[in-house]
Amino acid sequence: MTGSRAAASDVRAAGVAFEAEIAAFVDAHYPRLIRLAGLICRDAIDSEDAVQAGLERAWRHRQDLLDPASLAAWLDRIVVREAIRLGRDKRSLVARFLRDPDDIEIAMSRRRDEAGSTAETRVALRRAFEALPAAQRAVVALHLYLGYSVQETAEIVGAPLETVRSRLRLARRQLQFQLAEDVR
Amino acid sequence: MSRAFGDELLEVRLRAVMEERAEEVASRAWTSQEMTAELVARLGGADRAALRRRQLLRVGLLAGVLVLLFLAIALLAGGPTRAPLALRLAVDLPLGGAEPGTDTVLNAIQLAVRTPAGGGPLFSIEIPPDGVFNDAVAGSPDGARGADNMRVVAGDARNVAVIGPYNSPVAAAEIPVTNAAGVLECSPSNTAPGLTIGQAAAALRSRPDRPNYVRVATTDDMLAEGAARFVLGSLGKRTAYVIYAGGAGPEDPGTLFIQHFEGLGGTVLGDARLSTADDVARIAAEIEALRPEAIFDGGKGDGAGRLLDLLSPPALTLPFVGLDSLLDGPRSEPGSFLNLAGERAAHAFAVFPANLASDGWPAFVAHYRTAFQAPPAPYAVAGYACAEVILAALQQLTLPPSAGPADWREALRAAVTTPGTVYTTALGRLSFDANGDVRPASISVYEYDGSSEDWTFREASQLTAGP
Repeated sequence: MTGSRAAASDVRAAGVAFEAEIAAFVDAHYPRLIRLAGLICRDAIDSEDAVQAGLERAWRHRQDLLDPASLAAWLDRIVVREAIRLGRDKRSLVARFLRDPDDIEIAMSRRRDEAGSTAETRVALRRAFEALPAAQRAVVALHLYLGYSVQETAEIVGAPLETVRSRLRLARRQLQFQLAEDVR
Repeated sequence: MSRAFGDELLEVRLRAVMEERAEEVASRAWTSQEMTAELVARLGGADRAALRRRQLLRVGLLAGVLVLLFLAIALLAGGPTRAPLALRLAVDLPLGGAEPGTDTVLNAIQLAVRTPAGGGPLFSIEIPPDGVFNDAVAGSPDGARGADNMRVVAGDARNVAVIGPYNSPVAAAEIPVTNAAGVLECSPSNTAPGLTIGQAAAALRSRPDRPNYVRVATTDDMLAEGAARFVLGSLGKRTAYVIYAGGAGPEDPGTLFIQHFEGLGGTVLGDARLSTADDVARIAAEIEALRPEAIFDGGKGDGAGRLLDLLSPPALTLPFVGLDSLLDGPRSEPGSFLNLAGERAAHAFAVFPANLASDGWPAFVAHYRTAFQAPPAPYAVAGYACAEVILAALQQLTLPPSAGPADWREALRAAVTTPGTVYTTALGRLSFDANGDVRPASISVYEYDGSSEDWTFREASQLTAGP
């Protein structure tokens, strides 16, 4: 084997190891992150974009992380902030030009849940959740879906503690109000 | 852990709802493997560059000389300084009112070309005014005109692909021309199975070794299966009366519907051809006598509208299921199905040959409304998807700087017709099989919305495996 062939072989071996390392990184975090982003973004495409941006950024700066145990929370923070940004942009566009962007989701949920009033309530609640501003969906998702404390949620979204409490309170009121309206 | 939400019942319900939404998004989004592949592609450049630098040090002068040699060759070929190659995309549709809504299909294609995908460092693409072809003659789609159009397209190598045609009979006339010339055609709306499958398809192609035709619309056989599954599954109706589109031949949507409906356990109580005004009255009387639970009409919107006009209660409350030909405009459009049927369309459904349940569809509608301040017709999204496929394939091509338009045309044809390549489009993720048919085969169902007096999306289903 010549020197240049040996070098090429090393490159290929390094490439395989690199891909395996990325695969392990993605397998460990992607399932959680895509679900989290899916609760904040308007659709699966934005969710993918948010998670991809988060994973890419985290990978490039992984040496900067002092405490490896905090990797998951760090990733959550990057993805949530990207998802809020995308959710905010998309919402304004959709709200302006599309009569009811949730029609598809709601129609599909309704088909699955035609059993009775419980399904109606669930559809109404889902509609209400999806109507919340992205920043409110983010704190609700972090606190109730992923189980972060209010303090941890505040750190992840980069907002003061009282702001997060306020967003949770507003979200609850909005959901209760919409739920009462829709099932009336 | 303390909770700050303050409503335990709501919290429990909300968690279930979030779980449901999160799972739905996860099921539609990339898999871990796909995300890994994307990240490897994006990050590989940086990490491997560092490795390559180390290898360069090891092989020393030899690699340096090779790099210098490469740069010299590239400069001599004019590669790094060459302007993007100007390419053209042709569009062939029945314009000028020959088919409802084709102007919005053209708008949608032009919209896609104006996105960043419509150009890059190697190429730019445009649809010039003389690249838009009308295949209608005297207000009707015409195969001979379509074939003439394709000869013009084929004669200019800058035309790397065609989006169209709209009607299957026109496609049957065009494919022999484009196949012989090696020009890629992507149809947004052709549904006749014989364009891609069997002896009929083979007879259209002088170069079967060089496939050139793909379509994003599901074929009529799948459309009929989707309609049968919708009547039996979603509507829960076990008996039906069937009206043929034409002569009840083996490819007639009525025939195909009967095959699937009965195959799935349904019963057809009666069937008829609707060709004259007398047929309408006879069919209406027969439906009222036979009392089916649903009516399937494979024909055009005007005949269906006249039939509904003659039905009396309770037959009027029967689900009336038709195909995409019923989607010929809102109630305000003179002569459309909804215009003729009026409030009698309250139980009407129309089956459309593509998946509108993807996240891309509402985004496309919003994009279109922003650009044109009007809603797109149903097939506009399919034209947009064809453009997305072509532009994505062009972006992936890596041709040498010396490559000319003919090389790009051939590379594009080969790339798009290679089975299995996955494209993310406004119709969701799709690929093409070896025949050029879209996978997964999906259908969507529209229903009449009395408040807007127009069709509205109801549900979608996937009939075959997909990417």
